[in-house]
Amino acid sequence: MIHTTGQTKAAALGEQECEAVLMQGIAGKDRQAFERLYYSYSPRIGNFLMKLLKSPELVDEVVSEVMMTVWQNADRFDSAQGKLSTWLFGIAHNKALKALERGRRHRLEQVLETEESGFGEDEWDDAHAGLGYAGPDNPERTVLGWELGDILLWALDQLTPEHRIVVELTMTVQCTYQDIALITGCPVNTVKTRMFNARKKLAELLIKRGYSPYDIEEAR
Amino acid sequence: MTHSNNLEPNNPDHDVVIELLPWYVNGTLNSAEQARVDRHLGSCAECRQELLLYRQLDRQRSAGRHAADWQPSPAGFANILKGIDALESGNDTRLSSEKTPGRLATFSTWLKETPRPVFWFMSLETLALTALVLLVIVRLPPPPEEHLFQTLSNERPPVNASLPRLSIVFAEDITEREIRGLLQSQHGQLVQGPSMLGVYTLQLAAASEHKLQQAMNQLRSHPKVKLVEAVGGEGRQ
Repeated sequence: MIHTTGQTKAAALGEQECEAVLMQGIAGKDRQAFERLYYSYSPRIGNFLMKLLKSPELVDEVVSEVMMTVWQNADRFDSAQGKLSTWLFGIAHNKALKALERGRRHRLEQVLETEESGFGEDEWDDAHAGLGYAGPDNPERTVLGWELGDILLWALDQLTPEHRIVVELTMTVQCTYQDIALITGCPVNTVKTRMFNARKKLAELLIKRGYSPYDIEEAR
Repeated sequence: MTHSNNLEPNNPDHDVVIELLPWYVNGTLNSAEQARVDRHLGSCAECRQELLLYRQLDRQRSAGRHAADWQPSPAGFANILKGIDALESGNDTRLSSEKTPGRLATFSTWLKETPRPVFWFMSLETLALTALVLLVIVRLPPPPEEHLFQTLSNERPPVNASLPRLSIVFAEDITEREIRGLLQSQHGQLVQGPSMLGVYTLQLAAASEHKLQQAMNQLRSHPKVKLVEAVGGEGRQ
């Protein structure tokens, strides 16, 4: 339990011990400890999920799922195995993949309906990528205010969830590659390969849209 | 992993360093790895070019790091506690997405996701298999009837209470052939016996009084028949 004396003691401990004490409190069904965890970690988890899921409502739902899982399984956290944030992002990663899968199925149904109604696949892709018909080669893009960074954002959205997750954990959450391996349950080499392939795919997409990936920096 | 377009083919560091660049950019490499990347970047144009893209990515995502895309709320936490209360009171009203779909729902989802040609192929296959099973069942020979095969030991002669019966005792030296001859001559059959005293029960085919008396007389006259009496006082000697 995290009480006043517990908090004083925890402050003197290292981060790892502090996390262990917090999780022991939650395992003992201490709601104050749980509330501390929620406000300490959910912003990072929520922002990570936002990059993947895009919808605040969906992120609310997945953050709730993550927190419920933490409440029910707090006793399984072992600080010797890794940081609390790694454990939490591991749970969030699994929940995000499930949510993305649900979204994929939903979109698939929409595509089938769209195809039946005669709406072309390319048109659908562009519309859902948020680009409309104003690609970089199209003069309209200037009118609509498209900037080079938007193209990169669009390209990121085209990555597979596995590639996207590695990119976001690296660039947004600023994880080490070792932590990403723990979060995603993959070997370290797989993490590096996924990142390399994600970069390759991004470069291909940028070239497809008329940009050299190496010109972006210079253009800015 | 060996990467293509390697401009530094003779540098053994290249493949290692090019994979470390994303984490060089996010600043999470240890000091030894960071020094290795620094050294390599000084001599590798390809890695310097790769670094541009990762830096652009980092710049793009750093906006996300600082902008509060999503913020926790007291209402959000209250909802989680509500879910926990429901869970702990045994009324699990957790988020619907957390619930495991039923078998019917899973099957229904599977059906929806199965491509049409595969679905029709599997349906036809199932139908063909069902037809084959039915054909085999129909063509199977019927099970043997209960009394189709009997051993000599379990033969039970029919007993008809309306037919006259006689108690009969044969001589010790009578043969089986002689007994068979006697039975055939009287159209009778042994339905019981021998008892402890060597008495058999003989059932006759003829039901008339006259024929019964005639049979008794004939049996009594046989040298190897020691006793003949009607069963149940039917003797009309």
